[in-house]
Amino acid sequence: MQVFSCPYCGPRPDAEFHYIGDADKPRPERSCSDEEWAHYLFMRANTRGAARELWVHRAGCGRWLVVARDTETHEVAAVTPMNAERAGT
Amino acid sequence: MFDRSAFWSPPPDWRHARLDGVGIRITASAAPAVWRISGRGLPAALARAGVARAVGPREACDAPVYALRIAPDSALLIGDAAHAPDDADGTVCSALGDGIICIDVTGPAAASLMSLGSEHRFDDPPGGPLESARMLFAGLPVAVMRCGDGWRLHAERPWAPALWHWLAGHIAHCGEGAV
Amino acid sequence: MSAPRMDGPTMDGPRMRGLRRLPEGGEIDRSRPLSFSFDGRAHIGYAGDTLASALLAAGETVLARSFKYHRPRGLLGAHHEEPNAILDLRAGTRHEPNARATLEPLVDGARLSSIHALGTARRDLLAVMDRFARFIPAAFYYKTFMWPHWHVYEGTIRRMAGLGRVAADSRAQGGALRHIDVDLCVIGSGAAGLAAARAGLKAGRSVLLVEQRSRVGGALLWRDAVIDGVPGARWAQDLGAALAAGGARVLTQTTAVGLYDHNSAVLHERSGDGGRIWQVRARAFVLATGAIERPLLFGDNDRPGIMLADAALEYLRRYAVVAGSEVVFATGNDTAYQAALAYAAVGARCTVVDARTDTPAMAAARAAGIEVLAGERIESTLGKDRVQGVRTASGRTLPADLLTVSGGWTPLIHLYCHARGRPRWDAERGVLLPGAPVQGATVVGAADGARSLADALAQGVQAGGGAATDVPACIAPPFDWGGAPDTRMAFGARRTWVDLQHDVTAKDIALAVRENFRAVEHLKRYTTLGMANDQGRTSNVNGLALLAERTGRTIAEAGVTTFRPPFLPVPIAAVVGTQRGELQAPLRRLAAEAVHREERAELRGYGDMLRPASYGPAQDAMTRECKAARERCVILDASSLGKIEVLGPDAAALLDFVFYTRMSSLAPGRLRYGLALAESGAVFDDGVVLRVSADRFVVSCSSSHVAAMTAHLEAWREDRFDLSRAFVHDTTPRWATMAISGPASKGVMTALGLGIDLDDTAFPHMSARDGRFAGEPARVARVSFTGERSYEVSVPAGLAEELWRRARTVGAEPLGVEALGALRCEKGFILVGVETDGETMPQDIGMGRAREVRTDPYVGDRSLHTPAAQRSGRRQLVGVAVAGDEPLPVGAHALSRGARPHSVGWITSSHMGVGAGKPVALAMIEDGASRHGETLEFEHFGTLHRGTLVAPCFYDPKGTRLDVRP
Repeated sequence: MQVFSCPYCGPRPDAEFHYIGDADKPRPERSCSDEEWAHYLFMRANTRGAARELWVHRAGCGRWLVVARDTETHEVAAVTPMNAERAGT
Repeated sequence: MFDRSAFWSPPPDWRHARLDGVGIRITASAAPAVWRISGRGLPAALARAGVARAVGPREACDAPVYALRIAPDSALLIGDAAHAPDDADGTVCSALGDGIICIDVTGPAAASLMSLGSEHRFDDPPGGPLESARMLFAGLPVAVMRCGDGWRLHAERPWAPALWHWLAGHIAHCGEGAV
Repeated sequence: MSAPRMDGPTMDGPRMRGLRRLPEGGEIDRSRPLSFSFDGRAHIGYAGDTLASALLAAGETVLARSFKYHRPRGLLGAHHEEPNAILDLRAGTRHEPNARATLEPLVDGARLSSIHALGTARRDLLAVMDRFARFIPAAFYYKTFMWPHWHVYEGTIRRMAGLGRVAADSRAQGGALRHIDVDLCVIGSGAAGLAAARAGLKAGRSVLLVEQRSRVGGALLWRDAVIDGVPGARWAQDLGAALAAGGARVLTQTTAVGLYDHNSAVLHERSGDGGRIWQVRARAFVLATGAIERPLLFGDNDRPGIMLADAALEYLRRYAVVAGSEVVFATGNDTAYQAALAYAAVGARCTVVDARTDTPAMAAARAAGIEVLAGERIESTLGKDRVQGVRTASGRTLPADLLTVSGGWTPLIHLYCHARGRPRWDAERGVLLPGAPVQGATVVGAADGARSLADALAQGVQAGGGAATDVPACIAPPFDWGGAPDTRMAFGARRTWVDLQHDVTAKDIALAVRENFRAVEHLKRYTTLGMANDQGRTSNVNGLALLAERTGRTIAEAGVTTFRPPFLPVPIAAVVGTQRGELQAPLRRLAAEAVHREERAELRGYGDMLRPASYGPAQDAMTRECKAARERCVILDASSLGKIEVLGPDAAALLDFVFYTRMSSLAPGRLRYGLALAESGAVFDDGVVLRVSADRFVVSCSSSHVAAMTAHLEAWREDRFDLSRAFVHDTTPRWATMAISGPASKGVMTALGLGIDLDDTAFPHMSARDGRFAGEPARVARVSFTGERSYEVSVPAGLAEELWRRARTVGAEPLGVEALGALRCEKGFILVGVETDGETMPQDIGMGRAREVRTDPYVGDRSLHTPAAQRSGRRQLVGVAVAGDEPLPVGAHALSRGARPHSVGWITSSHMGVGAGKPVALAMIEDGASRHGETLEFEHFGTLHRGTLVAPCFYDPKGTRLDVRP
């Protein structure tokens, strides 16, 4: 029943979005160790409190978004495009 | 062995599809031609097609050729079969042929029916310039636009029968609820 | 105004046992009598009655039997706090197995039955359970009924417990879910709620007012009050009408069942049958949910005929029902006195038993002719199946046919707790109150511990955004909260009942404490106190007080549990609403569905698409269709396959990154089969990619993965690529695609006349050509999923039916999805999600080459070079051959050799292979690729089968059939 304010589309119900996982998880280079790769694949921060999450506005603009959300109170501090500097028109 | 043909209502014939209720009229047609256009050159491409700009869900467009905003750099150009946009500088274009069904929901009770399908505030003024016309309506992916005294719902052909059956199933409910 | 009296001139006799309805007054409409029955006994009620008030007026005192001990129970309350009166209701076509008598309006012809009794509530054969109470205290099931195991006893115990029964013919309907968006949502239409709604409307906000009862007013409907010079009940009705006229939405018979994220709430409107759900989004909520009275703790305090004093007053004022003619009002606060004075005024003989020694209220009562026993408490009640008298602590016995109890008040803070509020104990009032404020919701009135009507009105006005000058003037008795529960009489000789719904006694609480379940969360779960469908409304705080007393702590120290939605039980029919049948989980449809129906196809959901499983008589459809495919020519509706265009200067680069199989080396007009992986290296999807031109590709992926594949491509596009150089357009809805397949397919294609040179050198396998069909563009790709020569013909969706019909006319026969499954199985063509699971990597299905060769990055690349990816023992794709005619069962596990066999893989697909002429199967077996020739045992539900591992292709392994010449 949450509402996210997509930076492009404005407020939309959470059913239009799809949760991906933690934001800020850069893809390691091919030369990384098995441990680093496993960490990228399987480990989640599982933050209690203020977290940065990746969501995609699947039923709307389709853009990938970083949602700063408190996992306890569900308060949303901000919703920004994942690649803000490369956003289109 | 496990035949579900009777469980699922047959899709309507889109050439004659129509639903009437108290204060509400629903008609459908296949859009004659649809193109998906994306890229930096989108505004120019739309202009060449005679469309000022792509619209969002709470904006109207009563011209036969219009565009729906899908993503910040992508739109659905709807209407004119004669005019195929070409891949000009900075845009790409995919033909969607007659793959989109347009369903018009009009009449004084139209707002009530729309409120059954989504919590979206359909009567609010138009939003930001990049708002997508796509949303979840009746749980289905639909692109919405104002149209006349109601709204036009655009659904991809495979989903259009589900949307139609939902509308048919709810047309009797839109008068209910406290005043 | 003189109240009507029971012993007035129109009645006969001074003591009116059995005549329980006043001739005048109340909200009922005496001109509209309604007939109803309870357990077969016929009665009359009136329009405006609830089931409870009608039963009370009819003199039905024993309405139910308790959960565990089958003790007789009657009405304790008048509204949602009522724990006992849950009945089976039949009215017209409506059947409600667990109707709450205090919430259901009476309708004509209602048939009520008691539930949960072996027999009826009046005569329950299981009443004998109460004699065994000693052996079945709280948590008995943790200690007994264990040997040999619980399930031996479970069936019997479950049958003896439980509530109403759902009848096989129950067809409850729910109304459509409605959304509503407002500035201000006020929950509760008592004084505070009405004041808030009016203030909000006056401030120009859109307002929704939600009320559980059938009319607005809350407690103003029955308690003494004067607001702005008029009686409270009338002030409330007038204001309610003014709100509606002023544009506020007012929903009555509607319960706010939960407060949820981001200022949303769910309401259940009880409107015939199952009712309807409302989803509310509001800028602000005002929770004016009021408070409910608590019962007192003493021996045998659960007998029918014991009622909360405020409830007795509500029945009297609103429904003109006199619940007793000889009434004892037991109390420790001033509340009961309003009820006592009201009952005395209608001629009942009233006695007040007050634990306090002297208060001003006592003088007023005595002046009205009411006897007041000060400094006295009830020790126990007398009577068999109903109250006939009470015994006080000092040993005095009083006759009574109604005992009212006033043990204090409990603010209703459920919605505040739903919004993650943390309550705090207020020792002076003896209540749990809201603690720190929560975002978006303000608690006002009695729910927030208001001490007077004036306070409640002021809080409401402020919460609604009004000024102090907007607060109406009022006259009302001050509200006496009563303090913490009095536990003095809770441990006497007779059992003291705390939770009436779960039959939890004070002794059970003491038992839990002795067994060291001293934390309130443990106490709750061990004794089940407060866990029934009334969520402990009349028992939680009493239970807390007993816990505190037994553990030598204050109530604040003992702790508090929280509340979760729903506030009241919601019928599933309301939750389902109109989402039933085909609206519940709709499927995508084929453009040519009408013609499949004409051809008598059996339609089934495959993923999210409705597709023809087979055509014509089901029995031999598989064999018939497979033979046609291998021997002649078939047509399959393949429109569900995704067609995602990837475009732009970086399209090839995007595909090279997303796909395991390199696509950038494709020449225009050519197709290539490939895999897309997840980052874990597991096969995510497979599909065929067509290169149309340098900057344009069409990805066709499996039907069930279209949305996922589009999202997958879009995700990596946004993450790694210049958004102005790569684009993803899902064009699946544009095309209808029919696969024309079989040795005779070239002839059918020629007859279709699509304007394409079909010569094999001009049009080789795995290439595509553009043509025309019925004046529109068509595209034909030579791709085969059957293993035969095949052409996938794509035309605009609107021409799907025409293409099908034409192809049928020129000789193609229909092929369903099931037969396709058998054909591709004997060729060893995998289905993602059938042969592959969440761990299957490309090398496991014989596609390990790219892993060895590619050094450029792609999704999943690193995962293919981990120890897990390279170890031996990975499950690999093999074929399994059997002797005889019986295909192996799908899912049968291959057993390892040796003493304690374990699974080394399983059969993923199995069919009678029409082309191969024998049973064929595919399996994923550990190290299968290097074990061809081995015979293994396969186990399936206790039966063993034998199969030999072979190469995963049983038909035309060289693929010569693709270019077969007729």
